[in-house]
Amino acid sequence: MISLRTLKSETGCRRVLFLSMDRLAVYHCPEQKSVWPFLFDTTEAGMRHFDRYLRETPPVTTFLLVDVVQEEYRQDVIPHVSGPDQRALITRKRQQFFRDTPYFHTEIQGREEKNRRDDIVLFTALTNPILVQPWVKLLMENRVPLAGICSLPQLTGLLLDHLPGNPQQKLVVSLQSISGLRQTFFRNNKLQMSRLVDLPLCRTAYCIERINEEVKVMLRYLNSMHQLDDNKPLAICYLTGAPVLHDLQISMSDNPGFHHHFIDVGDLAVLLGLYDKIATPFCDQLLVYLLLTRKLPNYYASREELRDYRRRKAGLLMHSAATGMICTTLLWGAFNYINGSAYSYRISAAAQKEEYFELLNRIARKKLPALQVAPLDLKVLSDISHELQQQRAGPLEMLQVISKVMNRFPMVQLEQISWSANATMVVNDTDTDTGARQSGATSAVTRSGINSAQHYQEATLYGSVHEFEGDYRKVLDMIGSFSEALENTEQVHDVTILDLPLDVGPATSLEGSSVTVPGDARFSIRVVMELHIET
Amino acid sequence: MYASCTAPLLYMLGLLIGVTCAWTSWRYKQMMYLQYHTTEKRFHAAAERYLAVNEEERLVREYYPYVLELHEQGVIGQERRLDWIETLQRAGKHLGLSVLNYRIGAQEEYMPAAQYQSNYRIYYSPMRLDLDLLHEGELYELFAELDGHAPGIYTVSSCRLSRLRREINLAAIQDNIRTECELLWFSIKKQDGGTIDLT
Repeated sequence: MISLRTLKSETGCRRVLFLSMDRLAVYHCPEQKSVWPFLFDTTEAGMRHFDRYLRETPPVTTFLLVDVVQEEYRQDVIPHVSGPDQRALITRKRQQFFRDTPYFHTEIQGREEKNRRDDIVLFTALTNPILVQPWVKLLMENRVPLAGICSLPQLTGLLLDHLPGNPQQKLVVSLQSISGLRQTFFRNNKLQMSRLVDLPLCRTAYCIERINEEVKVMLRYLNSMHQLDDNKPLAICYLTGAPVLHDLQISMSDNPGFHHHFIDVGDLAVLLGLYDKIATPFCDQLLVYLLLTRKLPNYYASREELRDYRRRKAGLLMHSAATGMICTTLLWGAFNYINGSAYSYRISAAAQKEEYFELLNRIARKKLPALQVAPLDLKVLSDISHELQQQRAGPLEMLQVISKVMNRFPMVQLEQISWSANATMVVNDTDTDTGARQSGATSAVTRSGINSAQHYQEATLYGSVHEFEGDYRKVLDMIGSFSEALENTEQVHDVTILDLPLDVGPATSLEGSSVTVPGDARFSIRVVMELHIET
Repeated sequence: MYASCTAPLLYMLGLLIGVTCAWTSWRYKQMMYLQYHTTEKRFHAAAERYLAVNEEERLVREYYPYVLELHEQGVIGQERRLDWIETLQRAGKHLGLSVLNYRIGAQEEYMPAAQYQSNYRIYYSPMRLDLDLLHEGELYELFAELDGHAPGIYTVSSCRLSRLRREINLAAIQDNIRTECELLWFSIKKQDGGTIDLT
């Protein structure tokens, strides 16, 4: 057996097992280079060796490619349904066609053009699971993650885009080193059926003859199964090495219904990205390369068989998530730490500036006298006292105005003058008399229509006309003149006659005697003046 | 084993390290941020205090003498009731008033129409004067005496002048007018009612 200790245990490494009827080829990490496989016989000894191989190599992700005769293809139609109904139909068909194998796959290839437009379904299965199961069991025992199982015809479908010829009907003929000659028929790039023939390594001439014969057999079979449409040309693509292709070209006879295409597998491999040109006529390395480099669906492996692979994927996902989280949080933490450090630097700078200004402040304040009152409050106190000074009031101005007017009316005598100041002033006084007087002044001023926001003084004059001999008209005229004289004075805002010796208004009752008695004719007048504020 | 044990452990470890790192660094940054703002505020306050020194110096220079004068007059601090009484007595003698009665009431808070938004309150002491005058000119002289010699700020809130006899006595022997006046003497106190002491 081979020593495998030098194999790398890279997590990105993949492995492909290529299983034929009698051999298992293991392809390991080609990395865009063609590699030679490790071969194991499908005998007990071969399995023991394979088991040892698995134990001695890292459990890299493995894909199983099967190319055996016991693969069947059944095309059928099922009603166009979806979900659980579709699954139930497929399960019933599976029971009907392939009862004894767990390796079963269905592919919905389209819909019928007529009738109910049922779904066209291709049912494929590996009918002899004993060929596959021992190898899969060994993989599972060794905890090797199995990514999937597919067959070579299914894989061949991936090459169709790179093969020439009419896609409506195409027969791909390829040679595999350990399995033989594989002919796969596609209609509209959809797999229809495939046939494997054992082709032992032999001389080229014999191979050419066998290939021609087997292709003819395949064509007869397709005809018998009514798979071929005579109205459409059939493209036959030969996929093998250049020497074999050359001989095939020579041996081919012209047939108008068939178009032969000869594709060098080495050239195609290079076209698909394989660095080394394949030197053999076999397609193994090309197909393995496709498996190793592309994400392929699983066709046959069960969930249980994929268990280790799913765990591996979940583990890798969690590993990536953990790494990502650590990196992200470390970065965020570093960002926060840098920000915090920047703030720390600013803190020390601000503290230094604060200390500096405090020092300046202490020095500057030494010049100020030590006061019990804050400097700003000095201004406040000063402003309040100015305001109080401005609100000062006295009766002298009012008395002067009244005196001047009185000089013009010698017959008028004043008995009493009640003066009050500052209509806007509201004193919180327990002395109800004072309070009432002041509030009365306020309301009086408001009644007289004077703006109560200003300061006013008010005086109520109680007086009489001297030497009254019963001539009410004369007295009333005199009092009216006196009131008018007051009102005409510049400082006076309003004069209201409160009481007259005789009320001749229509709202009051009036009585008297024609015999008049000399006496005093009493009256009262209210005078309102603006308060001259001292400045 | 790798997938079943190591990955979850690594995941948990990553989560733990990540959360711890994130929380610690965030706390550190947040703490530094708050501390920075506190220091910055202190710095600005210190700068403003320093910049205010010149203004305060100006205020002291401009207003302190006047405030001291107010303090002397009893407008700020203790009111000078004794001086008021002495001034009234002197004025009564000077004017030759036969009757000059006074009554000073308890100090109360003054509520002006326009409130002062400051740390101070205004109080007033009501003073009632009852006096007999020969003529109203004596009232003028009395207020002039108070203005000139009585320390403080006052205002006359009301006055009532009543004739004592029908005929005016021009011989200056008997008084002619009875006068009742109410004065308010103002003083400024602290918000809590305490006296402002400038001594």
